[in-house]
Amino acid sequence: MNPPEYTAKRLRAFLEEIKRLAASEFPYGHSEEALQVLKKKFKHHLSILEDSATDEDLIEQECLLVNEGIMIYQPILGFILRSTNVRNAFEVYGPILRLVGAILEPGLDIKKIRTRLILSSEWDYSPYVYRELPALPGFALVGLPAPESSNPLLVPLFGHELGHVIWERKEMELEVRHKLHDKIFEIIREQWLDFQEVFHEHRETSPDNIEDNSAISEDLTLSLELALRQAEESFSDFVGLYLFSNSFLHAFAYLISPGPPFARDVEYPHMKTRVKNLLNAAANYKMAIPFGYESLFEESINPKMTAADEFCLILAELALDRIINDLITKAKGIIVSSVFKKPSKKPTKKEQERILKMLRKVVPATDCNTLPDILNAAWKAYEDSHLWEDIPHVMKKKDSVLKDLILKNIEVFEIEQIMGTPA
Amino acid sequence: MKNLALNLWESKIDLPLLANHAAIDLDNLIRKKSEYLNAVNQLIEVISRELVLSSSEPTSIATLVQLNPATAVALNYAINDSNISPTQTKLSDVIRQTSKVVQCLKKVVENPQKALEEEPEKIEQLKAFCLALSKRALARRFPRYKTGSRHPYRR
Repeated sequence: MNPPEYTAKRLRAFLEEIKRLAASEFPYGHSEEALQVLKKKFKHHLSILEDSATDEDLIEQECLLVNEGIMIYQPILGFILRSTNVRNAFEVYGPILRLVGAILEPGLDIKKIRTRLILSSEWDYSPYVYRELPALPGFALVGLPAPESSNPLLVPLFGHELGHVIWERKEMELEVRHKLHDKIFEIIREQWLDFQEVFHEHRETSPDNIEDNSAISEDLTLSLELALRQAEESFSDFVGLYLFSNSFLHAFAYLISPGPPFARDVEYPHMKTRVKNLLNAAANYKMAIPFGYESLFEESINPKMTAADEFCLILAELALDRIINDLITKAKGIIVSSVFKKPSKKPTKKEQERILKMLRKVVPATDCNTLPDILNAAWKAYEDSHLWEDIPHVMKKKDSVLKDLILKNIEVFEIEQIMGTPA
Repeated sequence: MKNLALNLWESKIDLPLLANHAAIDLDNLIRKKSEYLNAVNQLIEVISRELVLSSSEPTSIATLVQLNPATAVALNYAINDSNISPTQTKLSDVIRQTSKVVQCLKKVVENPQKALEEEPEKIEQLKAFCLALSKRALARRFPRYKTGSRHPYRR
């Protein structure tokens, strides 16, 4: 046997797995649709490999692309399988889908939107999301770590994950790349001698016209890539924050503080920088900041890097810092002009107090205006050490009762949305 | 599994995959199997967009900071790998060379039969270019700081 034959066999096995998974019972259709899209993609690969008349070099390259595809999409099959698990908080599915639909395709009925949502659980303890995958356009794959996957208090973190989908669908990268590219060259000119010290091959180069230098451009692709990834993460934080206000900050601290126990992922800003940016955004959005919030987080440490890579990382972070306010404004602008466009759809303190009053009575609130109102009221209840002290048998099980009550509240909210009430 | 017509967003471009499929389209043309050049057409669009070739001044500094440098680097090497020209030291020259390649690809798409009759060796070279671009773009797809064990699309 040869590599194309082995690859074809691996492909057939992969397609068999998709077929097996498709026989599962799915609580909503989007998981099944993702399988259908993946089946089509991999069948196309197979048809190319089965065509013996194609040039050998091209078939060899196709084999590499198939290997890459299997490597990328096999964990997605696992994610899709886990989306059927009853541990997931299915109550939040409809409200989150409506939210992302209202942002990306305002005015369209939920059944007509092109955006897809797959809600699942993760066996990695991290609030990660998958960036949009090339074969699954408009699919938001969001998951919480398995032990927290039914915890409604962490739903605000989905706001960050929706931020990634907005980034892709609004083609933010094109606009931001241009700005970052510009800033990176600006900073290099300011630090020209330092740059030459790290990149010796440019010792004889003049800082004039460096934008046209293909070797410098190649050396700086890492810087631009890191700046873009950190910009996307920051933008996604701002989307989560503007959508869910304080409840986002609480959920973020719950899952992440004081920070990762290992060297930082350089695609994210330093933990302290990330928190500082969030608090700047909160101030810009005129949101109250929880007392002592910044002190909940520790500074992260850099992984071991070469001097050139470290220089690129510093450049990326300096460039991002120069456009961070644009991202704060942009995130707000997108949400204000879509999901919060109608005053009745904007979260308010008054509404959150009304819901909180109901939660204090251990009763879900009806006629809620928005999901963020419910979640902000939920966090106020969670943080209230006196909650239910007059009902000791409930107070004893405060966490679990509160989580069930919030899920019930979200379910009532979704039923009302489906029924078209309130107007 | 149901086979429904799905109403989805347009797919994101996967440059290594698209370039290899463009090479396969050209191979099919050379072998007289098919004149279907959809991937070539898409590749023309993608390269033109990534290098901002539609700009009135594609080699001005203002345009240079708008292009995708990762794609420009892959194109620079692919043009050299397929013996179209040596690697360029100036990005503006990469853009000029790429523009020429894009013009040749357009000619093939406009009239595949004529292109095959008049310049079969040119189509072979374009096929080699597309394959080289696929390889170079695939090699550069995920940045070198990514650890091997982590899923490349995980955030």
